[in-house]
This record gives sequence, structure tokens and C-alpha cells, in this order.
Amino acid sequence: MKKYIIILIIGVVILGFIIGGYILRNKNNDEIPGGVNNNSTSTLGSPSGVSGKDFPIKVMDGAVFRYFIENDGALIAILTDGKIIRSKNNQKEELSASPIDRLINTHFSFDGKKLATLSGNKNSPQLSIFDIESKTWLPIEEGAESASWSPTDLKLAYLTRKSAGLSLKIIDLNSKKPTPKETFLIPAYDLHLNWTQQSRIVIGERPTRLIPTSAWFFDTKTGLLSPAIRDEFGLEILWSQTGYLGLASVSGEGGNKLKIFDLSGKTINNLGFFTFADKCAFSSALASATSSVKNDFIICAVPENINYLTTNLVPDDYEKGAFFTKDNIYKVALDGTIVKTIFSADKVKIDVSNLRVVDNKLFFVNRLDQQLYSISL
Amino acid sequence: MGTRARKIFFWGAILLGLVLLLGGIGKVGAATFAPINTGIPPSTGTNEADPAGIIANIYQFALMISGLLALGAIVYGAILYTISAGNSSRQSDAKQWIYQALIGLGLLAAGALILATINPKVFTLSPGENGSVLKVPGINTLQQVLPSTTSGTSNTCPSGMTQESCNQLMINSGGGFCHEGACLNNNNYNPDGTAKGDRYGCIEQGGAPNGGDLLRCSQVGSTACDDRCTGVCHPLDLSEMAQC
Repeated sequence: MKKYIIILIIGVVILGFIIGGYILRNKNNDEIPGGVNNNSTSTLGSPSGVSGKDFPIKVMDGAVFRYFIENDGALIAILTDGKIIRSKNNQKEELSASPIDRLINTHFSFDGKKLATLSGNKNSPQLSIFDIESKTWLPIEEGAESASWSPTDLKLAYLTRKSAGLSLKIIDLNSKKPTPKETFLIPAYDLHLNWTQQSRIVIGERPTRLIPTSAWFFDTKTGLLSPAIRDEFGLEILWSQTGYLGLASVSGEGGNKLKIFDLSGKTINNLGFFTFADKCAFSSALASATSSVKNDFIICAVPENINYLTTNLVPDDYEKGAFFTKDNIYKVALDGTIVKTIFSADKVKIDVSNLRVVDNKLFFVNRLDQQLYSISL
Repeated sequence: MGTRARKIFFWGAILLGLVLLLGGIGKVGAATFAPINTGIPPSTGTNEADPAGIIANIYQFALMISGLLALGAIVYGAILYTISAGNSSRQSDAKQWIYQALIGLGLLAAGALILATINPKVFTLSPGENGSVLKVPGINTLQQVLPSTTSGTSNTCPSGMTQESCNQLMINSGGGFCHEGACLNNNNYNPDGTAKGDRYGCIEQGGAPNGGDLLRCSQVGSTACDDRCTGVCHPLDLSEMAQC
């Protein structure tokens, strides 16, 4: 009889261990995807002991609005509360401690030395420029709508609202007394700027699924306006570093499409999959005119459930934050071939935005927690 | 339990431990083998449905059972000792259970420690770094034991992707398929993985199909109209765009 009792006790103990282990295992798996600990170099959702090679690593603490990676590896970031921070080798320096009320948009200059911010009242945002080196603010104008830095120097283009439309102004921050110069008046509203080449500014309408929108090239030397891409629903464009190739996502009645087009507006490739152009980044190799096509690629974060994008009003709902996506990250050849999975959304949920490829690393902001992460390519 | 039963239990545990140990050593040794592409759709985690997942699960299950057996033996010895009521023979018997279980546990732990030091991934049996290579001790090719559904490495997918998910992802081009670790779309590629010659409409324009040059021209801003199929880059004149 004793034997049976002993065997029973052993069985119960073993069963207890199995159940305990099972509960512990499930508890670990239930951790919030995308949740990060307070360690500044934590790995996003990776199992303990796993290196950051296949998992995104949090680069710094704080909700990041926009960031810039300097040549020496230092990171400059403006946080959602308006504070500006430089971080290098885990050493943080607060460049601007003043919080900004209602940050609307920000843009770093090509060299990361200046930062343009639009903030305050949405109907009449204040445009200001922060000098990273002198740590000083320079107010430019109230009532600015959109701004974009030149890719080659410290000129800033921005739009201001007038009764007859939007006025395109350019201010040269290299000059001793920077004064805005009015370039021309556009009889339209709700536009955004993207200065893609030394003398070429792309003027685009706000992307929406509700009406077809277009984008135009404005030549700052000749003053000519020519179409870049016409009448597409949900049009979002990402430009390569050279400004010669565009990646456009459209969400028309014919379905969602992602395509590469050239300066003539002709489609070079329809990529077979869909994601928003804003969820992609061209490789830095594209910046070189002599680079081989074989070395050129795009990094795209593709929502796992593509059908989800067809059941929502995109990109409108996505831009408004009405829903989030669970993304896989792929390395894609320019002909649309997916050549590598950088990150698989099997276990961790990330909603990728604000991508930048630097030194074989992808940096991005996870929309779910607004933290900045990096992952090896 | 008598002495005989105890011996059977003890040697059984040792045998199980040795099997695991040899398996682990073999796996480490297999690092020098030529990598075998199995054609198994790899994933970032271990997929329970694929052979790698099954082997990993068996491996981990056996390891867990060995540990539990050792633990059970210690518990049994402890209980036996408690209820021995001063009987020296029973006490000795109980001590033997505990000692031998501890020896078995020590052997397992030592083996695990050595193997983990040599290769930290030894207990996860994860796919190789390229995501599609699985190194298995003693078996030079998994294709020997798996039904061969692939010819060589032709239809392997990027890690974490399957033929089906590739096909679904490329929905905008009428589907897609995996080929040599990449997910290709039907618009640009033939089923055998070769690029479709006229994917840019170059043949219709009378030029040589030269998509690569077209892309290179485009990205340096040198392509326009009819020169996109010639393979030669010409400076792009903005005024030409209207004609395009």
C-alpha cells in the first residue's frame, strides 16, 4: 500500500512541475508584444539570451517623433514632447529641454545640423528652426503649412496660407540674415513639400482614398511646374536619396498597388505586394550613381494581414491612427522580388514607421510605443 | 522497489542521458558537415509541424523527462528515508536512490553545460543562420528521410515564409512563388525562376530586354522615352518629359 502512496505522491509532484512549467511558459509568452523594458539597449520581445540580430533593439528611451543619425553614429532625436536629445554610446545630452506644445511636424536638414519644426495651432502652425550646434531656436513664420529642406544645402522651402492659395517660400539659412523669398503662389490648399533634388521640389496633395491626388515637380531654377504622377487614389510617394526614383503606393478601385516609377512618371515596376510607401526605405546604395543594380534594394514593412488594408479606408484611417498593423520586414529587390526576411511578425507586433537605412542597419519608430529601434539587415 | 528495479531505473536514466549526450555531441560534430538544404520552409521560431520542429520537440521532451525522472528518484528516496522508521537497510536503500539520482542529474547537467558552452543553440536545434539549413548529427542529408518535394534548392523561400504565404503576398501580380530563397512575383518571373524578357515592354519597343540597365539609368536620372531599352543611359532633359 505504501508503495502506491509513494508512487502517487511522486506522480503528483511531477504533474505539479509540468503544470507549473506550462503556466510559467504561457505567462512569458503573454508578455505584451512590442513591450520593452527600461534598459536602453533592450531587445524588442526577444527571448532571453537571444541577441538583437533578428530582433529589433531599442536604441534609446523616449517617444521619438523624428530622428537623425550622424556620420559618427550619434543619434539626434526630437521627442513627441518637443525635447531634443543627442545620444552617443549611451551618453545622452539634452540639446533643448523646452517642451513644444502640439508638435505637428519636424524635418532635419540634410546634414542634421538644423531642425525645422511646425507646432502649435493646426490652423496656423508656427515654423521654427533649431540649430543643433548653437542650441538656439529661430522663429521663422506663423501660418506655415509644410516645410522641406534642400538635400544639398541649408535652404528651407515652406508653404504659407494666403487667401488665394499657398505661397511657396524659400529661406537660405546659410546667409547671415536669412530672409524668406516668395517663389510663387499655388492656387490650392492642403499640399505638402518634398525637396528631392538640388533644384527640384515635389509638391504633392495630401494622400486620401476619397479623391484622386497628384504630385508635381517644381524646378527652382526655371520656375517650371511639371507633373510627377497624376490622379491616383491614396497616393503616397517615397523618393530615393538621389531623387530619381519614386516608390508610390496607391489605393484605388483597382486595388492597392505599390510601384516604382521614374522622373518621367512612367512605371518601371509594379511590385507584387502592397504596403504604404511610407513604410519603406530605399537602401543608401541608391544614392550612388555608380552602384550596381544588384546591390540596390528597398526595405519594406508589410502588414501581415493584407486583407485588413482592403477593409479599411486607407491610407486615411491608418494616418489618423484608427488602426495599427502587424508588420513583417522584407528586403526587396527593385523588381519586387523579396530576397530576405529581415523580421517576421510571428511573435512580436510592430507597426513600422519613419524608416532609415544606415550602415547595414534599419532604424525605425514603432508606432505602437513610439520608441526608436534598429535591426541588422 | 527492489534492488533490481532500482538498477533498471538507474541504468535507464543513465542510458537516456547518454543518448541525449551523444545526440548533442553528434550535433556539435555536425557543424563540420556540409550544410544540407532541406527545402523546409524555415521560420524564426521552431515550427512544430516541420521535421526540425519535431526533432527539437523530441529532444527537449526527452531532456525534460530525464530531469523529471531524476527528480522523481530523489523525491522517492527522500520519502523512503522518511518512512524508513530507523530501518538501516531501508535508509541505505533510500540513500542509494538519492545518490544515484544525483549522479544521473549531475551527468546530465555536466553534459548540458559542456554542450551549451560549445554551442549555446544546442538545445534549441534552431535552423541554420541562413534560415533554411538544418544540421543533423549522423544524417548527412535530411532528404534521405524526407519525401523529396523539391528539386535541389530551387523552391526554397525566404525565412519565415512559405510557398503559400509568398503566393498570397504577391496578390497584386497574380500570385508568386519561392525560388532559391526568394519570393518572386508572377508578373516578372517565369515558373522556372527566369526573368520574363519583356517585363518592361522593351521587346515591343524594339530594344533589347535590359531591365537592369533601365533601373540603373532611372536611378541616376538618365533615362527617358525610347532609350530605356537600349541599355545606354542618356541625360534626362526635363523638357522631354512632356513628350514622354
